[in-house]
Amino acid sequence: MNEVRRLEPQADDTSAPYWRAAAEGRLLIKSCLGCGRTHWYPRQHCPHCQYSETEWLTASGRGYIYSFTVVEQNRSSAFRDQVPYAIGLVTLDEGARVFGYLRSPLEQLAVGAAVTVDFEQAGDASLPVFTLAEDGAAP
Amino acid sequence: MTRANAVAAIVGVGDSEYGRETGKTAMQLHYDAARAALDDCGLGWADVDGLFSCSTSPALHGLQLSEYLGIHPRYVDTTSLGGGTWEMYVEHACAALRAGLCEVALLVYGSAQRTEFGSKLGTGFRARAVGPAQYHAPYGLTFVAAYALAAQRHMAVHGTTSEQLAEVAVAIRKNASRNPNAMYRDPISVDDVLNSRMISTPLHMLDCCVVSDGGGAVVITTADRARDLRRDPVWIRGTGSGVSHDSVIQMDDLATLDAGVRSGTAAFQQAGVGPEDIELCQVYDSYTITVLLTLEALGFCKPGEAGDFVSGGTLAYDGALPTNTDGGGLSSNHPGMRGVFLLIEAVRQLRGDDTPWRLEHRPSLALCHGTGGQLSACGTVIMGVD
Repeated sequence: MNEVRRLEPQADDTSAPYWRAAAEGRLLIKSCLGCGRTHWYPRQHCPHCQYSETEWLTASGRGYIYSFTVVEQNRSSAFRDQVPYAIGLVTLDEGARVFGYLRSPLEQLAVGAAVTVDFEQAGDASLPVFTLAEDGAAP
Repeated sequence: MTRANAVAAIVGVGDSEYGRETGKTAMQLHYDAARAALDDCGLGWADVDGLFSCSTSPALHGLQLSEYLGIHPRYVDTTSLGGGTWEMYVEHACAALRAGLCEVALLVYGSAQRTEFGSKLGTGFRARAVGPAQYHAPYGLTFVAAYALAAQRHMAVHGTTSEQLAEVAVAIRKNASRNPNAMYRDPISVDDVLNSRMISTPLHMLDCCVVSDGGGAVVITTADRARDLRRDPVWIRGTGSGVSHDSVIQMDDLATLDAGVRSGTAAFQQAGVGPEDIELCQVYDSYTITVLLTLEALGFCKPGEAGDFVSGGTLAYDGALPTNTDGGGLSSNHPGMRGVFLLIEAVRQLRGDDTPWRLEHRPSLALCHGTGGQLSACGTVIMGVD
């Protein structure tokens, strides 16, 4: 249990709202008040244009798998009992790309598959994860 | 290729013993490698006035290493950008030499990571979930998984196959068979790679580099001094560096090694040559996918065509583009960061050093390309002999 605790996200000024929203079942991304582009993981500024002002945006939670991998070996005590598990990058409808667990049957995962966000408990934290959308259609 | 264009030359190379646990500490391996490189060129410790080295240890490495070695360099560079940093150090050393900030640059690396952490380094997970790592640490992103994400994307976008990735491992293992110091020398087939244990899809065990202890060093000096030393100078014709991201989860395009496109373009431009002129490659082969991405980024083939390019033994010592002729990180040695070994092997082949794995036809122009982190940063060096 101590190992799992050690890998819970340590919230800071920037990320505290993100993790609070996750606990409430919302996926937050950032949107730039200058150029309008969204980004993840959240910064105070925009990493695309470096403008200093950004705002939170609640994402729809929909996107598609940009890439994924099924981890079959992980010797760390925090993860060795979880293999095999799938992790991946998801391009959200809003444009930003996020990273997380893919919690659908491993053999159904494919680049391009539509997914929606879900949330799961990891110790005291709530982690955004993704599952295949009901229709599963590629964009 | 005349020395008139080159600011500096590599005049000495050396490595420590390497492989499974050597019983030596990282600091000892630094010393062993540095001494071997200095012996190679006939320069002494008192000649060294520039030190270029980094480490994943939390100590102030530049100070700790200087103290351990007992030297007091006037120029120290501990730029730490992953395994390709040693290729970037070549660029930095040339700049320092040109500016007169040092005269003899010692580039050195040593790691006892296999002794310290065991053989499963790429599948362990030690980062704390703080700072930017809070967004990936809770999800069990291993080093192998990071590269696997890129391989999966390359397959989806370009149709690259596991067989094509395996061809890289097969060719480089063939090269390792000639190197008595390589950790793994028995020939392997594509089937052997595909049948090896899956670590993180689509990367199998034999798609991944070995984990070893080891140290390596390279000595670089000005053209004037190089002329007077014992070994034929290997002239530095072009260098380039590129920085992209830290974690693969923030990589812009997982099917394009953008940092390599930039470092390669700069190096080729400075050298005034193209990929068609390169006779020998030493490219970072942390994973088979790293090699495919590198070949495309450097322009040896078009984007998406690296799978075809490497098929049929292209990278073997007797292939069209001999690559990682010592057996690389995939079969010979990989003590955490192997950028310095790319330089050492290129120099040995360019000079025609008498080793069992010397190429039958001595090349005169070679390219070294290091990729560090999670496809995060690259350094490219083009070097040649008269």
